[in-house]
Amino acid sequence: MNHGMPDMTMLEELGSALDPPTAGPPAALRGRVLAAATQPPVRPGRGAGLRWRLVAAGAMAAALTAALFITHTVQVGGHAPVARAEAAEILQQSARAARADATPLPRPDQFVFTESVTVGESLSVEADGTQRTRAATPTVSRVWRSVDGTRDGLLRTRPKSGTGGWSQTLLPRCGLVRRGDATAASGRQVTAPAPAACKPVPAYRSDLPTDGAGMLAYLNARAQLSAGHDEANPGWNVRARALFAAVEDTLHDWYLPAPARAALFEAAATIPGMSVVHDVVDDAGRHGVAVGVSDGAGRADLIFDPKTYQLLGSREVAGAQKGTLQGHTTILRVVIVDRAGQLPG
Amino acid sequence: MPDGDAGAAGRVADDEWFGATVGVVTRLVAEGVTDAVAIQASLRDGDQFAVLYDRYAAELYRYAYRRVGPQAAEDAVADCFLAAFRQRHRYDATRPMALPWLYGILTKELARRRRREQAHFRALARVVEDVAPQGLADQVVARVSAQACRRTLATALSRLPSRDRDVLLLVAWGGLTYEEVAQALRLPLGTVRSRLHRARRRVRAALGEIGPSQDMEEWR
Repeated sequence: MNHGMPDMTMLEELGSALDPPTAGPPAALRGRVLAAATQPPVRPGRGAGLRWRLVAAGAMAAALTAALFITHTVQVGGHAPVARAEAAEILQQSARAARADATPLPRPDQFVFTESVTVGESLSVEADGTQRTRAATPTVSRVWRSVDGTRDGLLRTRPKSGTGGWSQTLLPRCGLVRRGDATAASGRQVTAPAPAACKPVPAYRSDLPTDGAGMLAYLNARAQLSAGHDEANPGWNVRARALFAAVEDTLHDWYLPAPARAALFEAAATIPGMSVVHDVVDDAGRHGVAVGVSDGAGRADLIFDPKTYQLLGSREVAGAQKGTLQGHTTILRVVIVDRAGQLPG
Repeated sequence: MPDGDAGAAGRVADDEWFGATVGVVTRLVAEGVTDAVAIQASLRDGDQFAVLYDRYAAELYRYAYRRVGPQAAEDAVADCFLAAFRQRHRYDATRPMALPWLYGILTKELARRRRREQAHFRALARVVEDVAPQGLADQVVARVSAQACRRTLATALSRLPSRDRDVLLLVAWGGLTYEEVAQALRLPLGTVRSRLHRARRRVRAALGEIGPSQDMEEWR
């Protein structure tokens, strides 16, 4: 299900690199387990486990919420969210802007260069399970990704402030290692089905739908949403959040040709329950308008330039209305260049 | 006497029926039918649980090995099957495949080894290797870049909250669908999606984002 999503593909490859040298656990383990299992069992009380689990989950949720609210002092900019019609209108405008974009398509041998500032959440979980917070340092990233995925990409990052230099990571064109073999004893397909030694991860995707309805179907599939199989209480906002997340993921995974990008915004405009936050200021000091979906826990936004309707970035806010910023990405520029490491202009 | 005979005959018939049923179940299991049937059979005959072990131990071991390394993986898998065996009477027999259930139990066992997991990922993240100078043979460059990339990913993984990491890795390494993850962790589907999304955001941020739109030089 992760096919082609760059981060998931790389994770799968990391997984293959960490595989055990043998196909299964040591043979002696089977006997050890089965002998111990068939000993007269000490049966745990039936209800106790479940009750404990629920209590623990509640406590964890409370701790998480508290941690987020206590430690984030960055106030969210902008006014209170306003009407949905406006949200759809902004996305439609953005779609129109994309349709009008006549930028030439990239060649397969080129690179998509993206410069962005990212600020992660500062919540972390320590080795002993306690939850700590870490200062969220804005990081400048410059990434070059091969258009067709057949060339090595490059990632350079440095802290936004301070004098630290760039640290550099090559993004290998063919994954990390030879991929492992395919099936478990059950005959069920496992994680790494591709026997190929090289699986290119392209930065450019030209096969996505170019109309709003087709794109919505793609987003539904991507979010694994379909009529009738959602959880017991499929509130519209669960659906809306999932769709919105799929939009965001799609935007971040690939460089799309203008018609597909337009279709993406058109599809996004149909998501129910969106609202707008005016006058958001991003890490580059730019003023934008945020369009997003809220649920009880917070909201996710895409941020647009209020005049050109270009996408400026995205952010995630904890707390439904006047929350605190959890993380955001500011896109500074996206340019097609000829070589990894080459700066545009 | 006729009454007594009828009673004895009845008991014999019951026992025969019982024996035949167990026989059928055993045969079905041996032929590789559903996990649910195997688990039900194991309620009467604990040895039947071996079927589950034989089906899934390798896959679960591989998953655990990736997360916590060799020794801890062995223990986690052993404890997972022991816990599964103890809980097998609670198994929802309407679910033919037990793998999500087993992954759920394994996830709890791995949570008890969180310290080990952190050390594992941090050790990977510490593997020091200089970025290849230009002009090296392709193979060397590929190996070095692979290590650098691995390091970045391992660092990102070690920094994820464990609830998010569980969901991310069950999808990426366990190959579970969102629904299977929801089932394994007993979470609503929406929660699975949002945790996965959050985890991916962070991993992506570590790898550098890609943007959707063209040159924004004017903003510089």
